[in-house]
Amino acid sequence: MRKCILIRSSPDNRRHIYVDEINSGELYDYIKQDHRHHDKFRFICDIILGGHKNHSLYSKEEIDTKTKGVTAMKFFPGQENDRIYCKEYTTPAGSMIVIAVELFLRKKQTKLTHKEKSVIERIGSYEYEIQEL
Amino acid sequence: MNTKFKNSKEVRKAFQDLLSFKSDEEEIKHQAQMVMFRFLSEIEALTEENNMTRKELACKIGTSPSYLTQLFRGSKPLNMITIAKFQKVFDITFNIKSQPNTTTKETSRKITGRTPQPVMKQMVNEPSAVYSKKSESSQKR
Repeated sequence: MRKCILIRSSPDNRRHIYVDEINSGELYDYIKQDHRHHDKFRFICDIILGGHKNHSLYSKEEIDTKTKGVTAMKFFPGQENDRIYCKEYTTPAGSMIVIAVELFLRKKQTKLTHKEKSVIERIGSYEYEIQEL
Repeated sequence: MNTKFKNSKEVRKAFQDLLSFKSDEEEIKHQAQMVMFRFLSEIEALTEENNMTRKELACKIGTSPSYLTQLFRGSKPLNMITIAKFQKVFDITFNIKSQPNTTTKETSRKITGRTPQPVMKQMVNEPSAVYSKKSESSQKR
């Protein structure tokens, strides 16, 4: 069972963003590297917390039943095309939880490579101990 | 650089600092782009509802698919002409409503000089830009 840490909730407390405890340092360094990455992360978080749709910046990455709930925050598609793979849950009370799990640098093609598939499958298998709701 | 956090509290604080604004200018720029993303969120939902591809939508509003891609990625600003074109294509009207961002009595008093009524609390989390189908509203009339 992995641990995750709550970093922000929506004003109505119905949507929450967490970060994977083990990968938090790597994710932090990636986002903090410059203003461009920093701004993009804020936009993606606000899109998620506001319940807005934008498949160019955040979308499902489910490839089979084992990867249910795996999503991706997309950083600069068409350029660096980096991803932060996430796990999305809905609680029994109807709240949405997004856990930023793992960084994937420079996704090169639309079709998933073996490496990407294995990352998505691994994230799909993760189970989290969710606290502080 | 490889940041190592000592505990959960440190992680939370570091990420909360990342998400906070360092200046009013930074916040205004962010909010401007979020207004755009709220409109585009409705457009994305309508595109899906109508089983339309982005290419078809681009064609209908007389622009290129790459322009739409840039809009959705946030690399181009959305202008009022394009919003009007979206309204025409989907036969909708965006209804704009303002609402307070907070319901605390103190803040509302500062802004409005009035104590908020219970109904304001319910309004807080409603989307500030919604659309309505023209045909539906004309039927009501």
